[in-house]
Amino acid sequence: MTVFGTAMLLELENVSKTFSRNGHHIPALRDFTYRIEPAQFVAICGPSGCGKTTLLLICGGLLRPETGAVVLYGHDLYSLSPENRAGIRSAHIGFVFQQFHLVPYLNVLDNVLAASLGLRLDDAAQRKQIRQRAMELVERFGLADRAEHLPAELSTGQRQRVALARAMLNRPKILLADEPTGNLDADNSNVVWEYLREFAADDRAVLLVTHDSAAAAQADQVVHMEAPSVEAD
Amino acid sequence: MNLTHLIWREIAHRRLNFSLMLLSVVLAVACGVSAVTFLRAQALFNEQQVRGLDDEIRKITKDMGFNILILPKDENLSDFYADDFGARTMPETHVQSLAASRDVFTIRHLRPALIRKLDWPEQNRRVILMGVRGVVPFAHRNPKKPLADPVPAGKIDVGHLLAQEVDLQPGQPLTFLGETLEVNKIYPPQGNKDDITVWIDLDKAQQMLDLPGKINLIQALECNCNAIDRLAEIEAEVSGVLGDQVQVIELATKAIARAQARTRVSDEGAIRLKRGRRIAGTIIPLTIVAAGLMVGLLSLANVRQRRQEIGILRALGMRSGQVFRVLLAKPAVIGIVGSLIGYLVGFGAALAMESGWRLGEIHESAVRSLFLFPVLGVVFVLTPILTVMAGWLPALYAAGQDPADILHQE
Repeated sequence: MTVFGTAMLLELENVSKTFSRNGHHIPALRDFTYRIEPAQFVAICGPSGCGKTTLLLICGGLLRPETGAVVLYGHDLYSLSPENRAGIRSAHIGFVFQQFHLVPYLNVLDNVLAASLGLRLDDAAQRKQIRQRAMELVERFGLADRAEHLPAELSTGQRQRVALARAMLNRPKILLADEPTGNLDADNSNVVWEYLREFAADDRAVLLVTHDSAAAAQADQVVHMEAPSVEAD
Repeated sequence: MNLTHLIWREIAHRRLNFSLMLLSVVLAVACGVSAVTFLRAQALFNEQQVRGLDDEIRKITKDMGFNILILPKDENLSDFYADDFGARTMPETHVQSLAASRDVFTIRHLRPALIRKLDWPEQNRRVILMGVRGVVPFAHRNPKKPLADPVPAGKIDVGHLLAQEVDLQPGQPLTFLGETLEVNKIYPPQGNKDDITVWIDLDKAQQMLDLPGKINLIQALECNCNAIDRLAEIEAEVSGVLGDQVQVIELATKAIARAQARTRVSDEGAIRLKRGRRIAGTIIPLTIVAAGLMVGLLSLANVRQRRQEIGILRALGMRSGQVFRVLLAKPAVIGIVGSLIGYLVGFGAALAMESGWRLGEIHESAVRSLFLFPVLGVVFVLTPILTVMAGWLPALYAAGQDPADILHQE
């Protein structure tokens, strides 16, 4: 396991990723190095196809890079087994997507609680505690009166708030957000930015990927990407 | 929130998919159970018919008496049929030899007899004298209730017509060939030569006819065996003990006709059952395979439909093993529920078919006799195993998918 520095929350060291399609090699990332400290809100900004989502999936332990290392909270993600990586993801990483990706047959509260399925909650007290936290999040995100509703019965803004609540359930160290306001109007977008800033301020971190410079401007730090090279502010 | 909750919510949400899978399993199980139950009903019906004919044979043979005659080898059968008795004799020890043999299975109730047609000078008429002894039991078999009682010494049994003509009553003394005997029994009318026959103790008959230790007939009752040529089998057994000193004849009787009918019913029933089993043996595996394919294809459609959901659950930290269990739980639930509903439907359909669709005529006893707990047990255990096997590959495919691929494509 490689540990670059204990003060860092997420470290990417010379990360490269290439996709092969129809015999062609398409570079998505080349020797990407970056570090995120606690309480940072970082935006990766770039046009479609520049490798933003690839970077996010690599940071989330979902996509193994060809070269380089990804260390999250002291764990070299890709030296771990897939099962252990899933455990790290469940405990330390929160995901928010543009399409929300809510489970269509679970109500709001259960969708938030879905994030706890990967945790090993052995006793009833732990299960009660996580349920309590889910209810608090639902309330905090203004969804208390919608707790029993299915995603199809919610507005887009409400769905994204459910996705945010789900991402925060396990108190992750880092939140990875892929165009989280891409489908939202200005008012709902502002609500999301507010929550993300609040989350980062709690000694955690947010890594946002977006093609929208206005959205990127909400972050403390912006990294511009142009496929396959990377340029930092 | 746990995996069980997730499974139930998904089932409730995608009811059509669940219902189609359940329906295919219910139909397959119902088809198998109804075939097995219907065949069992047919088997029971056959058994019942055969039992009924067995009872009839028993009743007929009880009324009729012996139907196998063992005669001396040199007896002329033409004379025997013309005179109603045989002129030739054989040693009475033949009976003991047969009774002592361990190789005789096809006949029962051996009774030695000495028969002569003679004049009854005291009454100036011609009668048939039959000297008989009680039935000689087989030494190596469980004793059976004798088919005929012996005539006690000093007594005489008289046929119906003879008793009527001479005006005899039980207990009345009479003189027969110079011997005074008491009337023991008067037989009811038989409509044959028995009506002009008198029966006395064999020892007395041998003494009267001056044929000590001799008989000219052994009566027996053939067993109800399934052999095609029973007479040949009986002859073979008897000659195995007595050599070629005797011959065996069989009296064509109602009992034989019934026995043949019984064998025919039993054989036809067995053929029908065999044919039914062969058809069921083809149809049941086909329905199982069809249901398995249906469950497998619907499972595949289900996991493809849930692709995004699987990707997001994996991104949230769910392990591939958990995804696999969630996806397999559905076929397992379908197997358990489908086996129970399918059993009830199949059993009900078989009962309805058996009653000719007259549902009001189905009796509790029929339900009890056709219900087989082992069949329910096998169905309840095997069906979930088969549905889980059918859902295995789609679940494996889904659990093995790369969540990054899914999320990338979504």
